[in-house]
Amino acid sequence: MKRNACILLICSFLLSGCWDERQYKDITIVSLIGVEGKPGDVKAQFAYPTFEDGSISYSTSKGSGKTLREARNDANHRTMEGLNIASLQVLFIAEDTAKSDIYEYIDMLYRDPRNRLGAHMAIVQGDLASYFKPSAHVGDDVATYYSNLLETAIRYTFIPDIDIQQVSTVLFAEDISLSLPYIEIEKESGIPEIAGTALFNKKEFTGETLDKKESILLNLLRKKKGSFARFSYIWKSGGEESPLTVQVVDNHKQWKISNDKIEAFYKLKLSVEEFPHVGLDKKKVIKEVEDFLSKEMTKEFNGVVKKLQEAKSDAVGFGRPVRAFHPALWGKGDWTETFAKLPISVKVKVEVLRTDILN
Amino acid sequence: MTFKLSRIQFFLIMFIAQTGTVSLSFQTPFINVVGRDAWLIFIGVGIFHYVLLLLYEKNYKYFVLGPFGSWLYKGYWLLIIVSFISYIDYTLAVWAFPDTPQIVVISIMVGVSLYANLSRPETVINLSVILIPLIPIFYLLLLLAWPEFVWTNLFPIGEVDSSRLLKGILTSQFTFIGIELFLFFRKHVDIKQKIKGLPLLIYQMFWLVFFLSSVLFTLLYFSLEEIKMIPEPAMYILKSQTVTFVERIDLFFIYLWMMWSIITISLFAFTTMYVHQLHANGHKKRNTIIFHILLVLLPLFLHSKEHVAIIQKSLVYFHLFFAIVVPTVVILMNRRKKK
Repeated sequence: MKRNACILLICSFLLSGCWDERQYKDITIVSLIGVEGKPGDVKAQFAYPTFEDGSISYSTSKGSGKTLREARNDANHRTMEGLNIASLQVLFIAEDTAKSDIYEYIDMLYRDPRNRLGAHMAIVQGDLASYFKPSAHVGDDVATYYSNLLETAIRYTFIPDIDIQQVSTVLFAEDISLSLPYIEIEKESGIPEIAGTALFNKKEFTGETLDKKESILLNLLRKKKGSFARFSYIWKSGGEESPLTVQVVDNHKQWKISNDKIEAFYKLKLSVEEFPHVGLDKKKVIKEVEDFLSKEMTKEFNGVVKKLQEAKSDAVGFGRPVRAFHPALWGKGDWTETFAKLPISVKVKVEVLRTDILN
Repeated sequence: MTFKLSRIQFFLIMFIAQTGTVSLSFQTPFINVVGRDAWLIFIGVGIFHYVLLLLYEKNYKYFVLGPFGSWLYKGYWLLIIVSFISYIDYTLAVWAFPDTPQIVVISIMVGVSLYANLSRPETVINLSVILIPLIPIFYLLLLLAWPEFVWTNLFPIGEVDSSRLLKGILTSQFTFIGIELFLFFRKHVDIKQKIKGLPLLIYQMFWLVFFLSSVLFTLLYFSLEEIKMIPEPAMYILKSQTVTFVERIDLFFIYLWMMWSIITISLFAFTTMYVHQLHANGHKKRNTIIFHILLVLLPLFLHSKEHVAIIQKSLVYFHLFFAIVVPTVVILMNRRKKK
């Protein structure tokens, strides 16, 4: 009897096969969406795979409307099957469009239970159409190209690892500002590439971006390192110079917050990956390299923080401990305004942990 | 109806009855009322839950209901089951079965309960065992979100005022629903097995850890403003997790929760029929079938989310009456009689 009850219980899982099945002949899976326009006049492009002569190619359908959902309905009029965005991989928002409240464009994706929220999101520079049909060959599967491009960039700490769910969480938080991957088309090759990070103030793109190196620094400031984070410098000492590439192995942060300033200390443990100069086995040379890197990185980290303050975008999230543990500072008013004026200094101490296979 | 429970069976019945349907939905209204203090307040609420269990344990022998009292409880459980079924049906329509007719979903859920309740008591009692391996899986899936947890979201504390505190305590009572089952089933526990002391504390800790962690996960994962928009936070946490073996683990979880809820309903139906049999003369099979027909038909009248919400809100007050007021009166009267 008990076994029969269990079988009946498990069989209830099969309910969805009766009325709620979705057949591929009725729908087409959209894996890339691009949004441009402005609130009330949204233009969207939907890329989906089509099968011809045994090979996959990507088609694009465009639609417009007052909202993204209406734009999708409009685009549906030009496709044989219904556009289904439940397996979305990448969402692009045009740079100018992102300068207004971007939540208005992702609300449909966020609230619909059928959609997956793990899709990547990025801001694109210039004309949106050129990303759907790039002049350079990026393979037939354009959506997978972008998805892989973003995942690789996340692995190399070039961009923040953020999906639609996390975008929504940050947009509704007062103590941290959103930062999204920024993509542009390289002028000479025509290949879409990661250009850095787009900075937001509240729910709007500020128009300010960080380049790739600054983006890595931002992610280290946030203590969100990918699998790799590499920096290259020209090391100079006593009339000698040598190229130097290091990889961040470990990253410790400590913030001292008072009512009138923030002092951030970072201890980076590095592995030297490239240093043709002889003598890295000597303690004196290692110390010189550490001092050189500490000085350079302190300068660069402070440069990124200054840029964030100028953009009034607390992408690092200094506001989080401030809101939680420093009510007097938090109570001074709008956090992005307070953040922009607050003296924030970063000090980096580098420790060379490994000198790679040569040592 | 005669049956004997082991200590583990007894606590498992309690746990499944208390956690089943409520586990998905109670966090949002609770956090919306008390904000970041929710986790701290829930620890306090947990202490109250333990005190209630201790009082039940001390006085369960005096909790003997007459026919009138039994009918009151049967009505209360009918309301609970109907409310749960309506909520499950609504949630499944949103997440899993948008096009499946309401009556089909409800009939299959109630069908399982009917089948189990027409069988020997052991069938319903042991049905909960199926969930034992699934509950840790649910936890492991939620813990995938660990890297995205923001610890500062738990602070500052102590911002809630007394009026919101009271509302919060009231809202948290959803997690108590089913606690009264202790008074009905305690006497069936094997007398050789101890309940008092450590076993009861362990059960209390399971209950507390389960609900407290769901509050903590919600606070740690979402920003406070965002929680206002999300009726089922666990679903949204799982929805954004990427694993290689399942495309959408939220949908995997909704089936798990459905199973969990069906067993909760079966347990409440079992308790109702058990109490009915205490004062009824035979016709167990007929009564069970009639009761389950009611369980199919009544939720069909609650066809909007507003109706479901109204019933759910009122449940808390009924719960306070049936878990605190009625037991207090019955126990005091019976103690006095015995003296």
